[in-house]
Amino acid sequence: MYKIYCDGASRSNPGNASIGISIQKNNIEIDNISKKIGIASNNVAEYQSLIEALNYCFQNKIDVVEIFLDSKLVVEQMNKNYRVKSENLINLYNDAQKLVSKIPNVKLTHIKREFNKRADQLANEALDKK
Amino acid sequence: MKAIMDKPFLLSDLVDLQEIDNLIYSINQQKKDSNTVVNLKNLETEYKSLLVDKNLKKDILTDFFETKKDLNKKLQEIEIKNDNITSNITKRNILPSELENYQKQLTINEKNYEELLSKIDQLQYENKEKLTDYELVSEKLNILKDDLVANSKLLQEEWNKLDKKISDLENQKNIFLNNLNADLKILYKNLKSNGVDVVAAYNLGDQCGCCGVDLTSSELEQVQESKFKQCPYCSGVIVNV
Repeated sequence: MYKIYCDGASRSNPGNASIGISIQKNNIEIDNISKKIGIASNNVAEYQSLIEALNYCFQNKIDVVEIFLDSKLVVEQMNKNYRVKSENLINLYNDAQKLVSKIPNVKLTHIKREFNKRADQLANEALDKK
Repeated sequence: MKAIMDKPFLLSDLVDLQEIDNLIYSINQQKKDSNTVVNLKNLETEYKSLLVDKNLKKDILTDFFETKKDLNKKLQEIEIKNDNITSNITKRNILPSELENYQKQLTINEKNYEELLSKIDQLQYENKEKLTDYELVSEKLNILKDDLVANSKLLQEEWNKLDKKISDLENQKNIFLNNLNADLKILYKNLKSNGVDVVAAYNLGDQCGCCGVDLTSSELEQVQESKFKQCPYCSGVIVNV
């Protein structure tokens, strides 16, 4: 069972932003992503982390996955419970939905920050790198 | 006087109001994306494609249908002629020569009739494969049509239930709005029309509950001092837990 923990970080909003992703199989990290994404808002960084995670699943033919994010906004929008109004998020939302439709079984779950520490750590490591 | 009559200024009301709006939005999304909608869309696409296919197959058989129609018309003409002859033969005052003449006509007509029937058989035989294809598509279309009707009915039932839920929520929202502080009502409306994704949310420690940004202590102070406790980044209202 694959679980992916995603996080987007932005220092000042918008500001230098990064993403952190921990890919786990049977609760053991098998891969991770930690990279800067330039200047972005917090929500854009969160969406970017989700898109990166979905791309990873698609490229690695992961068909069943649960993706965890601590952004309630992104999770609720993706699960179609919140409307997407910000213009800078609509394209990201559409990209993410397209990727979701390509993966047979994706579940998006909101978790509290304290349960997303590994992804947060990866995102912050990327920001700290010179 | 106005201040006395005004409703209580509770920022948490914005969270509750937004919750109702989110539910309405979510149900509207269900109406668009339910499995029944997807099934119906797929059936419609399949139906349209089959209809095109059926028309193409029908076009190929145009000559067949016209020739068959013509032959059937001729058969009918012979049947009418024979009916008239039979009627004349049964008349009492008919002359033997007339009777003989009528019988000759009957024989000729019967021969022509047989010939026409065999032409129709031949025509059917020559177009057998094309006809089978055409009938197969027609049969599929009929089955699909039944599926479409059944699915449309199912969708209508689903939508009626969802519409009822939306209507209940709209009523709930109206009651809520009637009891909402006027300033908060304007704020909610403005934030929504300005494209703020999450209008109000409870704080998550030092984090804005609306956009998830960590706020510094000075930013938090500014938020607490402002009337509507809006996040400096996303403008969403931060409600203290």
